Amino acid sequence: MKALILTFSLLLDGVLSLYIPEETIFLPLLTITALFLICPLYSTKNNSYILASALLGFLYDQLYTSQLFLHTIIFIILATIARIVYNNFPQSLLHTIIYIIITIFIYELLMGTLLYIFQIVPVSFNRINYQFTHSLITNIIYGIILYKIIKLKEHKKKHN
Amino acid sequence: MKRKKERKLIKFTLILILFTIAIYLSFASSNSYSKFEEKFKDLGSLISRLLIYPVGAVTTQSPGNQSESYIIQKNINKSLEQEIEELKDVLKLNRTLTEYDVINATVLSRKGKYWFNTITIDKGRKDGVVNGLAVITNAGLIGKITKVSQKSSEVKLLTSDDITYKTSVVIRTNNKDNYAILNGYNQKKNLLTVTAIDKSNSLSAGDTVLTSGLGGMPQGIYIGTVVSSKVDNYNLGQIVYIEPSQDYNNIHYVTILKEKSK
Repeated sequence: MKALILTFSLLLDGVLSLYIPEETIFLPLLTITALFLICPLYSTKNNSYILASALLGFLYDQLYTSQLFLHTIIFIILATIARIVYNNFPQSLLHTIIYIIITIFIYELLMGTLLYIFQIVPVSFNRINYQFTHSLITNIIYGIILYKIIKLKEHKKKHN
Repeated sequence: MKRKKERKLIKFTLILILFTIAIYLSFASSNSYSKFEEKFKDLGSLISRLLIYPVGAVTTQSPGNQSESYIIQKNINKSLEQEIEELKDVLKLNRTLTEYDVINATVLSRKGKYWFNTITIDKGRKDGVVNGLAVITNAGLIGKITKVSQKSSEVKLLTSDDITYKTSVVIRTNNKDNYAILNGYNQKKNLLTVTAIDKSNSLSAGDTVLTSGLGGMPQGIYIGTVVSSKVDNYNLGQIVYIEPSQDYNNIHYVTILKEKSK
């Protein structure tokens, strides 16, 4: 289930990026949304979630960005944040939406900061803000769908 | 307790160093793929090809349209071809578009386009693609090949803000050719920016911008038209804004130009 959600999100993310123009407010970051939401499906006793996020980041780089380990590192950081959030903060649909918004913002901020530090492209807060605000709608909708699926799965698991 | 704290600090420092090295390696490898990367990249391109096949089948733009328009461009009148040959002899030009082989390719992915402005295409080293080749569509130049693996390549678009990415262009006015450097993209205005033109050169809206043929690019490929110009901050040259001929949000099929002798 976990692997299926991650693989599906990763591939759907790539296909949507190819066909959704940059100017729209529907920019997809489905992999990051999925990475955050599947956190409760992993055990907190071991590091399997962090390892999965590293692998996902590596695949993301190889498929889409051509930057060797950039997303591996970013996804590990995001997974660590997700674990802290799920262990210490309340869980509900509304909370999850807020967490998704925060995760996307952290992702864009991390990307911008790294690109700024290594002087790859000119970075401004406006660009980070643009990318952040234009990614919200698609990811929140996808997040709600995934949340419902995961809750349903957890519910079934409890009853079995 | 103190020892535990120290251990945590050492662990954190080591992770930080490791992360920094990994990110440095990621950015440092921006000119070519390592053998290790190539293997994954080819596997990735295979997956992307399988994925976009059904999606591509239902989109309106087909490779046929692209090839057709290219053929229209290429099928120049016989007499014009003769004229070009004669002019070539006179001017000793050895690089015109007719001396290039064309490789048609499909765009596989363009994730991270906002920051990196790159696209991945389904043609690689085995199809004869090498670094630095010009990539065009029926609207004109869109970028050049920056990374090649066995079965796929990465194209850096003209809209890239990469500090090291520049293209030599010529702005054709009524009376002369003005050589300049295309070196950026204005996100707010959606216009390409050209610099390194003397401020005394008079340019007007509608002047054509073409590749100059310097820096390994074929000569005379259309890029766009001049919209406006202004004197730069140092009062030395002009910054010219160019309206690109290509809609960069809608690139699905491209053509790579390869020198016949290569």
